[in-house]
Amino acid sequence: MATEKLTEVKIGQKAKIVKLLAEGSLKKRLLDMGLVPGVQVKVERVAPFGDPVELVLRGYALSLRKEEAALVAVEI
Amino acid sequence: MEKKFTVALAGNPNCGKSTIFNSLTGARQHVGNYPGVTVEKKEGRVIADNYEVTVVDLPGTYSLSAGSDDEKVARDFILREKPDVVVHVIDASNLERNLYLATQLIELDAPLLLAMNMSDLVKSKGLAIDYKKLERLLNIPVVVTVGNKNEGVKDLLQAVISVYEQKGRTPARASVDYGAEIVQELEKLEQELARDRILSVEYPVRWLAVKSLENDPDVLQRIASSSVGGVYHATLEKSQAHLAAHFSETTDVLVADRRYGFVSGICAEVVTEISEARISASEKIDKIVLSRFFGLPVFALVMYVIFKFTFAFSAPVVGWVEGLFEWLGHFAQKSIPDGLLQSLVVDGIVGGVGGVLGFFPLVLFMFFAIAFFEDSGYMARAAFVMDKLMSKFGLHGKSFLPLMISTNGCAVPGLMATRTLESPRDRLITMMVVPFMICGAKLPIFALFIAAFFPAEQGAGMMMLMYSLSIGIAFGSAWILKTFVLKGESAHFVMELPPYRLPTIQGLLLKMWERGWLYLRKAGTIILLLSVVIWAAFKFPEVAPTGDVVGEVAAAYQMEHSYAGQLAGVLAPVLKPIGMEGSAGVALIAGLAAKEIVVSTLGTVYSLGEVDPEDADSLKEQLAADPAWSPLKAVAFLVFCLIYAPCIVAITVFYRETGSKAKWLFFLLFWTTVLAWVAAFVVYQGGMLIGVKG
Repeated sequence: MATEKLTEVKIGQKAKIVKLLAEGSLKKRLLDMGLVPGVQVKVERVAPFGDPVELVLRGYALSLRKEEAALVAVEI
Repeated sequence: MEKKFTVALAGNPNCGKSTIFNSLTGARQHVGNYPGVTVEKKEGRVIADNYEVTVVDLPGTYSLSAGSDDEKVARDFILREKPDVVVHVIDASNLERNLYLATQLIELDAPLLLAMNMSDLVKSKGLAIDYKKLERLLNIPVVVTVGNKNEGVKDLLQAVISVYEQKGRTPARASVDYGAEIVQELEKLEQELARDRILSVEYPVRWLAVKSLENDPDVLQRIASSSVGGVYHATLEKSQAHLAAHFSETTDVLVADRRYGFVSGICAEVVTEISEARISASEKIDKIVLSRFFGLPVFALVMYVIFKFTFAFSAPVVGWVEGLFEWLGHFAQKSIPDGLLQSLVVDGIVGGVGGVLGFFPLVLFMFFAIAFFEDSGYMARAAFVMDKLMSKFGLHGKSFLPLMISTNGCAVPGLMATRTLESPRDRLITMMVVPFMICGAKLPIFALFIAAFFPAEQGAGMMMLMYSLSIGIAFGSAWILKTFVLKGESAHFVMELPPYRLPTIQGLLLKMWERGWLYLRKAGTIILLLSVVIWAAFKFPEVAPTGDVVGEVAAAYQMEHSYAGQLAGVLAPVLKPIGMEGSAGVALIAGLAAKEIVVSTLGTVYSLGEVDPEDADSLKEQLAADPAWSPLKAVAFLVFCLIYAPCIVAITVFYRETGSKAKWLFFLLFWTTVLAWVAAFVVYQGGMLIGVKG
């Protein structure tokens, strides 16, 4: 399966996290929020202005900016 | 005699920790700050079974890294103050992510107790949790609570006491299984660490080793300064390289992965689906509230409600407070003989205290409205909706609210509203630009000058121009700060959208009171002092006017010869290039006390006596007739007023809210004043250059 950026995932679609390309405190924060490789996330919606995005993972809703989502590699 | 001990409440944001704290301690709370940071420290007391228990509400955190002040404070408290019991408050309806923090509390060797809060929401998610099994698997006591309904809080207190009584006999608890490969490396690291006696007594070595694999900067620094620092660094690098090669993944990811793996395993054992998961109320609400079509209108409506509530609903109370101080002023005027003492009491002290307390109802009303939307879960959505616009300028979605509170409102509650921002960088940038908004007190200045120098039909256009300028300056400054001043600081958005909840009245009132009280206590005294200083600057040195001038003319004469008047004289060469002569300088100095005073000071200068800022017709005519003024000069003056240093109340609150850091205070004063001068210079000189009469 091809690896893509989380931003490529369409609204309503699910994807599996493969790798974090983020670094430093952003990476730490993403890990703490449960975005570890292997976990499934669903892209729930995009904000009215087109950014940020809302994800659902581990039974809760998380929002991140697209520039942050672009640093998460996923498999659709 | 009661025995005393301390219990700390830890937990994720939005887990209902503060409702548990409020139920435990009632109104016996105290709010302060942790030293050196702007993180609030909440403490309360409860007496039960001959124990006097101090309850410390740690900041809500998802983890215990050194990434944010909140997390650092929570972790340092557990490590250094060693509370006798740590209650981890868990949102049971969101077990998986909440338990992630538990894995770290276990590694900190904290005497732990789990409060499964919001247990009533578990069922509505179509789930059931076997709490007994959870207790058995983790070997940690579990209590089931519903904080906002006060259920299980007594049991929690009993459990806290029994954990305290069994202290030192903490049974071996389940902990994260990192797997043989990682454990082998962890043990190597632990051996190194154990050789430093101080280090290994101060901290649990396993925790230090795990944190090292996570590259925690604080922990690495602490170890580097120990006796084993040099050797340890080499060992750590080797371990990290080995593990990274073995798993083809960096060690920080491995640690988080193993923790979540452990948590997922536990959840799979204790959580069962009992019914088809229904679509939750939150999901339904968000389908509308966050939709492309309704997202902005709902946001605008909520902002309007907060603004209305803060300023319109508080108006009667503000009126009472003002009335009270007016009465006090009159009373002092009657009972103290004419002279300096009377003036000090009436203008300096009563005026100063009135100035501080006048804002108090505003601050309370605003915090109530904000707390409502924060606790209900909407504030995170508001940030979600607005972030795209705000982030372009280095601001955060949550920066909108403070800016809005300041526009036509007041920068003082606006600065305090930045408390909803979590990242210190976002908060600082927002606070820097809040004073640029046209607050309610600046409005009379604009109204006066526009009416004096422009025909009525141009008034609205001029006002729009000023609003656009203020927004442009604020956003432009934010962008400059982001790009040049704070460029190294990281800021991310990653933010939970918590489920909607109905806030409790008790919770809202407590939050309102806490934050309001903080304003009075921390800013009040400084503001009072500065009010007296400004009063003295206008009152001294006392001069006796020559001849038989009395009343208003004498007041104008006194002002001109006071220290403030002299300062305006000294500043004249600086003010001349921006078109300000005569009365302008002294009015600007007076405006530091409060912006509307600019108008009343001009009244004094023109010997008009007391001028009501809301109704300044006579002053308007005087200004229009004064050859020292012109329409171009008026615009330059307004531009200067728009941008220059905020009033002392706002300055003081800014200073306090940035953690009393002189650096940022000076930066604010310098930035605003220089920017104001440059902008007024461009307007005035530029205007003359293109042929407008100066």
